[in-house]
Amino acid sequence: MVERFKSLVLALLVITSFVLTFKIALNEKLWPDGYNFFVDSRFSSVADLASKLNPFAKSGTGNASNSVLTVPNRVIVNAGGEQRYYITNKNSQHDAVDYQVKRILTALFSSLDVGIAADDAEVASALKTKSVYLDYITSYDTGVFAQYMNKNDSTVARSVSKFSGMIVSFSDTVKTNATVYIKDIQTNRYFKFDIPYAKADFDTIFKNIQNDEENLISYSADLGYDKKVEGQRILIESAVPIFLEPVEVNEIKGENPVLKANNEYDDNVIYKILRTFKINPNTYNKYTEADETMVFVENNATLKIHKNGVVEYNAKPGVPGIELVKQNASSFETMLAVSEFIDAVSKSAGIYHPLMQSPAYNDGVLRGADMQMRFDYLVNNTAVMINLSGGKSNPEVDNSVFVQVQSGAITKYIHLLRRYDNTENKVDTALVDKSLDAVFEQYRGNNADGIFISNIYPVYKYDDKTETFIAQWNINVDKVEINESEPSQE
Amino acid sequence: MAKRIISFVTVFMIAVFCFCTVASATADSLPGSFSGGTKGLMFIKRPETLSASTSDKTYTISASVKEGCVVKVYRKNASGGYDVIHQNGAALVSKVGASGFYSVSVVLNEGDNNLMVTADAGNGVVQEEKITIKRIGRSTLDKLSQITLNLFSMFR
Repeated sequence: MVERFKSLVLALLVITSFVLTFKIALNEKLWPDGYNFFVDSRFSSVADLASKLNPFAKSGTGNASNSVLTVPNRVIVNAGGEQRYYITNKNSQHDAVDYQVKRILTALFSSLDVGIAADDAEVASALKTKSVYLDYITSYDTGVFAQYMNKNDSTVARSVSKFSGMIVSFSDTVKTNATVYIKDIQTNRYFKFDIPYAKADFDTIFKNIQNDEENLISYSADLGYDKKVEGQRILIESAVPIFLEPVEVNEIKGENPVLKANNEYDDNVIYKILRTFKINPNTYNKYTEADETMVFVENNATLKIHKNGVVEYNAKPGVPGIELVKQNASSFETMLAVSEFIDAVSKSAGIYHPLMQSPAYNDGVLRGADMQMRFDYLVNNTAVMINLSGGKSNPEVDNSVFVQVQSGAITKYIHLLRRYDNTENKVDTALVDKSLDAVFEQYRGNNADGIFISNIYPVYKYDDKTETFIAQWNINVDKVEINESEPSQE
Repeated sequence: MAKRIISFVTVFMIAVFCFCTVASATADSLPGSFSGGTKGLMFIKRPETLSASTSDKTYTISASVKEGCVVKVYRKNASGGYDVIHQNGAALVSKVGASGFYSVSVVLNEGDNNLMVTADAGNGVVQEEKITIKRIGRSTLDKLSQITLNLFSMFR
């Protein structure tokens, strides 16, 4: 009896030791950030391997992961006629709209319906009736987007190869279906998809939203800005919303996380960044450049951490950089791995803002395990646009993140690290008309006779002279008509 | 001599009349018969047919206008003349920039809203367009949509 009891206790102890070892190997919270015996093992390859084997490890839940990438950047509820509501956190129906949009997207990408061609007039008409306008402001490969929605084989991708937004229209007479209009930006043609959706779910939103303050919004087609008359210089894509009044946004500020309050490098953050880039603190060579840029040199790569918060990684030519995926990985697998890597870099600097593919570079390369993409941070669901001119040592930075992946490995990476926060102030954007005037003035200086605009949306633009973020309209100009007879003023 | 005086007075009166007409183009009140007499400064894009109906409280007028023109929006008053509309404490007067786009949301009264939009290029060169926007009450619209729905059901 005593022997049996001893065996039982021994077995329990063995099981407990296994459980505790497993938890210790995986749970970072067991170790504080400060110095202790285990601090290095958290980043060891053993821990990495254990983490990969852990079936409960979170995957794809980072800032740039699929759950965030499928959320539209801008949602407008069209309640009929000119009754329109721009959905922000301030709107009473924000959560309800968010939930229903997710349901609609799931229904769309689960649907087996093949798209039917639709014309601009039909879409313009849908925007005047009860409908929802979803704008991603950047373009997505439909197949990759479907995979973000956990749908590997979506019929939507057969009709639409690339899209940047959609319109969901609800009929007064059909209660069980909704129609989704999507423009294929490769062919410039609209396709419509009938999806199963109980309209009653959105009817409650249409009813309750009447208590909110309406926004003065017209679509380009409403105003006739999509059709040219003699003397007209600008054409705007028919489904672009034109805000007829300034939009109020929170003023934001950015904090450089690589520096401490005394303007010295924060060693703790630097250490975490090195680990994320898999640079072994025991083997690298380190030196500091004249402008105080920290340079870490390894056999295969160089990592620079600039004092302005820019992290710059360059693999040596001909050698693999940071391996992310296999060489035969799909575009989706590559995107997901890149998203998770960016998240890891962000988190190492204490940054938790979501990211989006940059709308300014829709022509990013995305071919299996090769890609070149740019990302911008979203603060208050508004993209933060960066434009830092390069210096002797500093690289030029046009987006918060630039990633180049070759054969499944990161070979070039530039990331402007910033922790963004709201100030107590609210600021208004300018009027859209005035912004259009300013844009055309710029193009006219280069003999432009006319321009075509594909989207207009609010952004925060970083002014590196004043180190402030200015809320303004970003105007995407797609085509320019040049007057060849006029000499250039430049 | 008398003929000369009469001619002088006539010329003076014509000059004064012309000056008043030109001056009145930029005035905030205009007679119901006002006509700018110029074309090509402004193309009204919305409404497309210079008259429209809506159940909304506001109506957005849009136009493509020659750069530098001053655009004013007037409403017909009880005596048949036109007065510049004031909304949120400001007159609906705006100078058109390089884009050539002009849009304004006008708050509507119930029934017919007789509006006039003028584009003034200066030196008396003015184009005017008269627009009528009918605001239909919500109840009327509901009745109309009910008829449409019933008709739709009949053919299903």
